[in-house]
Amino acid sequence: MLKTILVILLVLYGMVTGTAMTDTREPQIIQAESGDEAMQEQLMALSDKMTEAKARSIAAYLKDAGIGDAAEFVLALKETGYTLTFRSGGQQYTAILTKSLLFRQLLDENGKTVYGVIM
Amino acid sequence: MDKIRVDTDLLEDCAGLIGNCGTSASGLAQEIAQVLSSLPESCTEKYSRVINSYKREMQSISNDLGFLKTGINKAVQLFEECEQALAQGTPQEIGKEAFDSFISGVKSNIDWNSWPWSWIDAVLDFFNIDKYGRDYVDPGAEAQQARDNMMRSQIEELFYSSYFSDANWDTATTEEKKQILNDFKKNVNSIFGTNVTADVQYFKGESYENGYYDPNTNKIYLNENTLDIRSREELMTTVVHEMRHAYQRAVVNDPSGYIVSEETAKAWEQNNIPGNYIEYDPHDPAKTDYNAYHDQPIEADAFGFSESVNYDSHERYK
Repeated sequence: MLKTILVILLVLYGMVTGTAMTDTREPQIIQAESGDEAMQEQLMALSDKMTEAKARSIAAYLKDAGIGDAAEFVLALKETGYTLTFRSGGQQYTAILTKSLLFRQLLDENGKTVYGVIM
Repeated sequence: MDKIRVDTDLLEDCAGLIGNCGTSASGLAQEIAQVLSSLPESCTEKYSRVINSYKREMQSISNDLGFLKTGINKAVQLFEECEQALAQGTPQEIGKEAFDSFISGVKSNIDWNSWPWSWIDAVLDFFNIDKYGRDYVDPGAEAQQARDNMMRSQIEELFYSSYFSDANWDTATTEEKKQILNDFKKNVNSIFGTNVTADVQYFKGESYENGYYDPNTNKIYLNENTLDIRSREELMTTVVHEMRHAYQRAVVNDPSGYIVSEETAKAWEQNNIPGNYIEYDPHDPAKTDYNAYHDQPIEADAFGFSESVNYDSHERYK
C-alpha cells in the first residue's frame, strides 16, 4: 500500500514539475578560447556524438554568422534536438542543432533567427 | 507575343499510342486480379495487401492513360479556342484572368527543345486533369508513414557499403566527393521512384545555402562552396532533402502513382503554387522569417524526412 502511494506521488510530482523521462542529458558547459580551431576543439568535447567533421561544419556556420569569440558553450538535449547556447560580442545566442548535431538555426537572445540553413 | 502552334495530327498519333499503353496496363491489372483471386485463404494479409496495392497501381495507370487520351483531345480543343480568342484580341468563353493565367502557365512550362511532350505536360498540369478522380484511392496517412519508413530503411541500407562511409569520404578528393554524392543521388532517385536522371549540379552560393531542387529542370543543385567544409552526413542530408522535393513534385503530378495521403499531396500542391512558397534570406528584411520557411508543408516534410535518416548505419556492420 505504502509502495503504491509512493509511486503515485512520484508520478504526480513528475506531472506537476514537467520532469520528462526523455530529458536524459544534463546540460554540458565548456569553456572555449576565441578562434575557429579552438571552437572546433571545444565543440568536439561537448558530446560523444560530435565528430570532427560536424564540429568543423558548425564552427564554419558560426563564423559565417559573425560569431567568432564565444567563450562558453552550453549544450543541452531537447526533445527535438540539441541547443548550443553561448555569449558572443556581449549578446547571448542559441544555435539549434538537429538530433544528429547538424547546424540549422542561430537565434539571438530574443529568440529571433539571425541565421538559418536553407535547402 | 509568342505564338504556339499545335500539330493536331501528331497529337492524335500520341493519343492513340497512349491509349494502347492504357489497354496494356489494363490487361496487367486484370492478370494481377486473377493472381489475387487464386491466392489461398491462408495467404497472409500482408502479401494480399502488397498484391492489392500493385493491382490498384496498374488500374490507376490504366485509367490515367485512358483519361490522358481524352484529356489531350480536350486540351487541344481548349487551346485552339484560346488561340482564336488571342487572334481576335478578346478571350471567349473563359474569363480574361483565367485566360491570362492559362497562357502564362503554359508558356512558363514549355521546353521548346522537347515539344510536344512538355507542351502536353504543361496543358495537362494546368487543367489538373482527373488526378483525384473517381478511380483515385486515398492511401491514408498510415500507409504513407509505412511507405516513408520503408524508403528510409532502404536509404539506410546504402550505408552498409563502405563506399558511402566517412572513411571513404575523408580521403576523397573534391571530384571524388562529387562522384560519391552523384552515386548516392542515383540510389535515392531509385528508392523514391522519381525521375531525376541528370547528375547533381553545382552552384557557388552563400554558406547558408546548402542546395535546392529546380522543378523546371528536374535537377538538384548543391552549393560547391560547402563541399569541403560540410560533413559527409550534412551533404547527404542535403541530397535526400532535395530529392524529397523531387518526390513531392512527382506526387503532386501523379498522386495515384505514390503512397501519399490525399491531404498531404494537396498540401504540397498548394504550397507549390507560385506565390505560396515562403522564402528565407537573412539579407532581405522581407524574408527573414526562418520558421515560416522551415515549417511550410514541403519544407517541413523535406527537413523531417532527410533528418530522420541514420547516415551512419554502416557503423553497426563494421
